[in-house]
Amino acid sequence: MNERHRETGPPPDWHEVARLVLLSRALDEFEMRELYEPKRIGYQFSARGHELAQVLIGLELRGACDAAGVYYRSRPLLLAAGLEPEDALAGMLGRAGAFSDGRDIGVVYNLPRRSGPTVLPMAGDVGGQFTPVAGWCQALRHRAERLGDAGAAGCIGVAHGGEGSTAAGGFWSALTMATTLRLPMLFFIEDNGYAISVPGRAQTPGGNIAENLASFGGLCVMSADGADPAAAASAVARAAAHVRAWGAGPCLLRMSVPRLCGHSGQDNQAYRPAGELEAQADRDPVERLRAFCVPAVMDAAEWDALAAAQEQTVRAAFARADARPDPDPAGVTRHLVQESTELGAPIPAVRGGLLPEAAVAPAPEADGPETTRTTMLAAIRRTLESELGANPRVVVFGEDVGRKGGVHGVTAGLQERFGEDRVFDTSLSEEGIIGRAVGMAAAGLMPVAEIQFRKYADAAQEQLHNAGTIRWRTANRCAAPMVVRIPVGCSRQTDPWHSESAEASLVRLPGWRVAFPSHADDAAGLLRAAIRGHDPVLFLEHRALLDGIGARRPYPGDGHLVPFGRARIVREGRRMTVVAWGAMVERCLLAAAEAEVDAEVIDLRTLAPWDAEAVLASVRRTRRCLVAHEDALTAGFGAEIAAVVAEQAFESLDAPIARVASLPVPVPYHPALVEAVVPGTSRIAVRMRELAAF
Amino acid sequence: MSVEIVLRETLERNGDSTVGAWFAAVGDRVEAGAPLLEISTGKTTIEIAAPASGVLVEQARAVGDPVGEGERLGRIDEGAETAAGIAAAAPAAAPSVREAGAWLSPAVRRLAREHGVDPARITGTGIGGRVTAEDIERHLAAHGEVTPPPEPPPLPGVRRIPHSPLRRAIARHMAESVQRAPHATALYEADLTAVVAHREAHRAAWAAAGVHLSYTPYFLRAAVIARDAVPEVNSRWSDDSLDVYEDMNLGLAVEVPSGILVPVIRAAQRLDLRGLARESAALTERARSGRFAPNETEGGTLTITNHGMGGSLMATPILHQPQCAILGVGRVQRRAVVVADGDGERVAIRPMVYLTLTIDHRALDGMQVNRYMGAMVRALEDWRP
Repeated sequence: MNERHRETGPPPDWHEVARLVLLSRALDEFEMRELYEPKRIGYQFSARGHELAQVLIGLELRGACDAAGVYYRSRPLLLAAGLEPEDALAGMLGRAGAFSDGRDIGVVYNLPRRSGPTVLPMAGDVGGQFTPVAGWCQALRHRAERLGDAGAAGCIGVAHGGEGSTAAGGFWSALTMATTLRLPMLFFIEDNGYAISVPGRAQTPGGNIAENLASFGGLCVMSADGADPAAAASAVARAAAHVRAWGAGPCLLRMSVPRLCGHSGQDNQAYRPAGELEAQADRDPVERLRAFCVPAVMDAAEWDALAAAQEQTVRAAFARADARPDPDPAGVTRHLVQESTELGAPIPAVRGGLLPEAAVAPAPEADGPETTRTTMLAAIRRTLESELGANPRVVVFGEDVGRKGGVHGVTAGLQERFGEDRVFDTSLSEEGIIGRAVGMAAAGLMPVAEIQFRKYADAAQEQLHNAGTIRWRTANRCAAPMVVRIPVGCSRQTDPWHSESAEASLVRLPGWRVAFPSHADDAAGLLRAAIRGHDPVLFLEHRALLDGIGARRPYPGDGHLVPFGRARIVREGRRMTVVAWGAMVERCLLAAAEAEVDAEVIDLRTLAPWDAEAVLASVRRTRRCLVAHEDALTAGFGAEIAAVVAEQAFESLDAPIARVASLPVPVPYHPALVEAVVPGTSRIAVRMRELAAF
Repeated sequence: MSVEIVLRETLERNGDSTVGAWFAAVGDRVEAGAPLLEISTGKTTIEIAAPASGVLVEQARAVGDPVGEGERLGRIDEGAETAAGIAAAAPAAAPSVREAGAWLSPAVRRLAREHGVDPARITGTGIGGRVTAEDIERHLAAHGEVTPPPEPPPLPGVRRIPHSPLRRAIARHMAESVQRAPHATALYEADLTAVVAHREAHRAAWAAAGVHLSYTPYFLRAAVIARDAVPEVNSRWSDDSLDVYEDMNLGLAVEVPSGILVPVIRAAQRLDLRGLARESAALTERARSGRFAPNETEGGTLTITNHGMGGSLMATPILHQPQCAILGVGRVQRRAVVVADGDGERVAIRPMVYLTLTIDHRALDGMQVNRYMGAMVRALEDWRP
């Protein structure tokens, strides 16, 4: 797509550009010489050669709601966006405070602001920065049009990556979103020719992503020499103007930059052809900027003084950073999830979800429970409907959730009622669905995403993992509250792709809460608690329960909330404790009747957190424990429960803890094979009888 | 012989390689294949295994020193002793005293401790007859809760000996046996004139052949011979049946420093006097030195306790469950006895011994005891090798 002539912003303040470029260079050289080589820090990721292009982009972030998604070589951009050198150095030293309180590498940045440009919390893995920026950009439109936020209009999102990152799935997922939705998003690709040691021609044919994307629909593609001050400034101004125009769609700006250093301090660049390094030396942007500025902007003495002043700034910043205390090991588990003060007031992050903006959704009219039963599917839909109605920041999306109403039918009718910007179909990329939700949460919305089947969430594993750890990694500066609904488990028709349960691997994701309701009443109460909460929640909907007769309950009303981490005893008994969740609850009740065992059946309702106290109290009464789940036996969640019971109720046990779970193979297609793999009522009954007779 | 430690691994090109750590100091013993040192190559770490077993006698490179491919890192001497000497051999495992049905779950142990109940006195309803927590509770409900008396404060001058695992096992077994089986004891005596004569005639020759001939093998042999009269003596009791065995697996109670062990002579009916002498001496020796397999105490069908070796004339031992009889042998003592010969009766001096047979009266009756002991006395008095 061709660039149209647009009004560009004011020309750059070259004095400020020079100051930031020299500051970045001084930081890199100080770190390499005085910290990395004496082994005071373990990493050094130098931006030498990249400074000019990044500073120009960083100075473009001026809008109240502008945001950037960055990577580990983005420090010049961060400095231009307001990163303090003292924080940068304290981060490298792992000191208290800074952007992660010593929890993350000093180059894994975040710079959240309640008002003003935000640098989204980045992740250490390449390619993950793109889709959250797309989510942010989509949220900008929502803020402007649905929430009446005038500050959002004309704002943009910048995704910054090296040429190696354009081979990652996240890049393509975000490119699809930005172009199909015409998002105000700038892909800023700095191409230094190498991803660690792999040359650019291995990342895209011919090594030039801009050439290859020339005919990509809906995308304005631009290229410039990132070491040429005039050309780079012009390209940045035109690219920014294009995306700020809202409606023209995204832009990809490729800047070629010299690589004057290795990937990190450890990289001796032995893989580079002889002479290449020397040949690049005359492209050093600092020298080119000096030639550009002296004497046009300042005289030589002024330039030298500016450079010396940056070195002084770095030394002074280091002295202050070095004087900061080390992080407190006692606090290392804090801020994994939303925390409250001693008085019960939640401690908000700077950005992420409703809490930082003190946005409170009015509770819907709380009518009482009904008398006729409804399916779990309908209860979930009505909960989504009432929360969409009450809270304009709630958005519901996923594959097929819009016009079709979801392949399971859960979201049927919601798009008609709330519009295509509140309830919408997404492109077919689970990484994109979750990455988008991260950006939307950072922008103050409450995303409620659907992953069509449990197995498909595998494609989003990286984004799921990173979303859950955002609050911890940023020491409560950023959060990503969201709800991800995932239908799981075996229904009438099964196979390896649509029937996985695999909840144990989700429970291991730090920072996520996991709900696994067993019937309509709990589903409504847990989903509502999740949407009104401040943490990321995986909401697992067992497919057999969506329409299952045993899971039907009267709709509990629009005010019904079920707290997380509180189990329920669904059947009292004295002979053994049976722990179950989801579809296993009903099967265990039937099995207890079939086996004629006086079993106490506990429905955990949520797996993260799980109600260990309730289970332990019951086992102390019954002295026997059976855990049943549809997930595979090996390292399933039953193993965790068994371990806790053995550790904390050992002297109450009169029999070995028993588990009933699926065989460690995928769920098969033929019903006879399913019968052999997935435990049904009769297999549970057999285990109950064996345990009772022990 | 010494073995060189050489860096044969291929190192990463981009980075300086240094010794990251040594896992053994000079003078330490190292085993072939076990990690010996690590090489740090910037991002990755390579472990180098010991190329031979022996003592590390040289570290040619220290931690932090740069290293390159093919370079010498140190030396192992295969013949040398370690500075600290070879570690002492691991102590022998304690003999296992676990019997079927004796396993107690954590919950049962706790209930028994809290309520002062002996689980051995309760009939188990769990798998394999184990006592379940419910069994304890039923017992408590039926018998009233027994609260253990408060532990008396130790009196002055006391030496408190904590129970060893063996002592606990003995205590549990003794209490359980008495509680389970109604014991009854019959007393016989035997004139050992023929036995003594036989022993005196053979002792020296057998000793020269390495066989110590005590009185014990005579009683073992007599127990075997008498079995023909009453096979049911060689048996084990269960709730549903009396299991009478073809093989006579004779348990022989042996005093050891920490208590009593009962090693078993398998298929004693197949051994002659010499075989029994050899086997009983060997078992006794192994039991006393602790060098016997735990299963050597299992599977007995009749036990003999030679309490007379310590001087006692007569004793009533406790049955070794689930066996149905135990033979007690007193001290051999020269006593004045009335003997009958062709001319009538007279008082004579004879080597005499008291023999007791203690039975589980559920399994055996007095008539069987009399027949068995009668046969045994005849075998001893009319000793024919």
